Amino acid sequence: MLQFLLRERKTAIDGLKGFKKQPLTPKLFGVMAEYTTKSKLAHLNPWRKTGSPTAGFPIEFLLAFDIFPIHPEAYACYAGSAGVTRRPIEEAESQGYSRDLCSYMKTSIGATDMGWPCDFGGVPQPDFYVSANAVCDTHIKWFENEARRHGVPYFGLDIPSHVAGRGDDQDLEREIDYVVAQFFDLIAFLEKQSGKKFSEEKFMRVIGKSQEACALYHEILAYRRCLPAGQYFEFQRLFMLPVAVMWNLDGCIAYYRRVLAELRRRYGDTPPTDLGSREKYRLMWEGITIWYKVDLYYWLAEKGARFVYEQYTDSFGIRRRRTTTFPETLRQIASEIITLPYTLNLEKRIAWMEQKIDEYDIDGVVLHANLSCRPAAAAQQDVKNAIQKSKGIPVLILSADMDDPRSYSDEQVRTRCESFIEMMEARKG
Amino acid sequence: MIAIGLDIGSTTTKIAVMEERKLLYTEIVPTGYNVEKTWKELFAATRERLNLEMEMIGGIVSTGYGRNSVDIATRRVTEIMCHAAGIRYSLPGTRSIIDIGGQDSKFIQLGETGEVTDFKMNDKCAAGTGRFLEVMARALESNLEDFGKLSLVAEKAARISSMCTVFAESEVISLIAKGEARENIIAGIHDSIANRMVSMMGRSGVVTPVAMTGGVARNEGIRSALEKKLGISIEVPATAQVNGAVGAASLAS
Ligand code: SF4
Repeated sequence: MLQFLLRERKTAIDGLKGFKKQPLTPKLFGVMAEYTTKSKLAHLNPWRKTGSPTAGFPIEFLLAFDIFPIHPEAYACYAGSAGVTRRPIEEAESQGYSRDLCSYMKTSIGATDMGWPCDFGGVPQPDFYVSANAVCDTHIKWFENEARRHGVPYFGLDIPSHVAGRGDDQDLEREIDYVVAQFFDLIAFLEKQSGKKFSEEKFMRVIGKSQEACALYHEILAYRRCLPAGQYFEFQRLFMLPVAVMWNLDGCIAYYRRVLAELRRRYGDTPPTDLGSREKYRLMWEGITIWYKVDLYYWLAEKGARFVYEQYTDSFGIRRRRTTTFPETLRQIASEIITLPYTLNLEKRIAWMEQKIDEYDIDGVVLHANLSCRPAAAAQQDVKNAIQKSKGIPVLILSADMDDPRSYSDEQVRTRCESFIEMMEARKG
Repeated sequence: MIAIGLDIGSTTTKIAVMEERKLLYTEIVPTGYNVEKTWKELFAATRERLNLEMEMIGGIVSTGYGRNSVDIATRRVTEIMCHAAGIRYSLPGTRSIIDIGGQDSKFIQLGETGEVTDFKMNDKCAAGTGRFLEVMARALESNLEDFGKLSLVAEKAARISSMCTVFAESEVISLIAKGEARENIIAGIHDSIANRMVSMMGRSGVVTPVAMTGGVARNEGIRSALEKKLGISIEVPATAQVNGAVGAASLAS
């Protein structure tokens, strides 16, 4: 880090300014800092193994072997928030990675190759890589390629492509068998990497923590409707990061416990059904946030437009159901990965949004047509048409990129957002 | 009271003056690089020409990408709302607007009472806009005024497949080198703009009557290419090029 600060003074200063702009409470900052510090320490510790998984990978298998999970996507989000992704992305593109590829991937590759620390997108070299095609195919190719580049082992989980919400459980059971069988291969792979024997007992302890973190996370989300607007913003940007990358860290659980206790103290043991303060325009955001453009959200807030719900945030923290036995847990994890919320069929996904539009009294929806994450931007025109028709509220498809500022034009975005606000204003009369 | 609309676009700046919702005057000048100087000069020249004292002006609405530079504006409104207001003024009852401007193209859907129900704009790229046409006119050593008429006498439209302005320009140059008739190339250029526009609009969203605005609306070739592809007829108001400014003035009234 020190070397980086000396070598890349300007980037470091710009990055720190970017971090400062984020809606980070000191407590949330603390829990995020715990993760980056532990990543760095785990990497430096010669007796501690580290593995690099993609988001959504069942990291409990790694944790059961005391292997620290190093998440490149999380670091790419940090770099995005810092507003320093342009150079790493260009570095990756100069090596031949196409402009069309995922900007998390390119940020990660570029920042790592330039020797940047993880707070700025670089990945401390892990001992191996693991990934799954549960969310996207990029996960498989990206990590396979990283393993090849760095000459370390790779393990891939093949997750069947499942369209959830159709009620054909017969298929799901077969798919679960297929994934559970691969878990045993994964265990064998990890035994080899760590030189340790797998312990079911330890694994179940780890899973217990995940389930607690995820349950807490969703209990907190249930209070969102009544929270003051300022806090929604924190949710959209950063609140899910602990549950996305470190759901097993005690710090994450302690943090969510504190937040929930505070909410219970303020609003009672069950979330109230009334809405909290009524912002001028209550918006729903769909897709990954635009990391490098926190200003956009502040600017919208100045105009009275606040995001109060996102399907994306709600989709994290999938380990919600408590399990008690090892075989049941394996099947449950497999089922959770196969039926991630984004695998829902379009009608169910639209119905979910419509329900939230009513619950949260939403005035307009913004769909982020994310140029580098096509899975997160699928079928948006259909979603837009359906919601405009059923709910009669404006829906804006905003073309940008979560981590690549070159795909963002301030003037274009502002004109579209202003027109969108004018439409909501006209509806209110 | 006098109402003024100022539409500061990327290529041209337009002014419209209304009195009691009646259009009195419009003017167009190139925007140039100094946006502020341009609108100020245009505003001063208009006042001088119409003998307008500041006290006579009841409202000024600015629009277009330079709208925020107009410090004397009583309101700043986006192009979408102003184009809708302009059409409500000149062609009431219109349900869809196709606006092709200097650097962007828009498709605006209006409800039964003329309110904006949805809009789409081109993203990230100037293909299919007025700037695209300008580049092509330069490559063909022609001027934009002749473009529309020439394309109407084309035997068949040449195929321009690239969406990118720069690549399309080299396609045009190679068509010239191959001896393709100029009218056919121009018709091909119009076709490519119309294709891009139609795919942005999505056929299902086009509710008639449809109007076309923006500087490119004066080009009959593009209008007819769009009409053919959509299978509908498209109205062009006399104030097409200043429609945004007219809308702004009507909102200022
Ligand atoms: S393509 Fe999307 S889902 Fe896949 S790694 Fe990139 S951001 Fe994540």
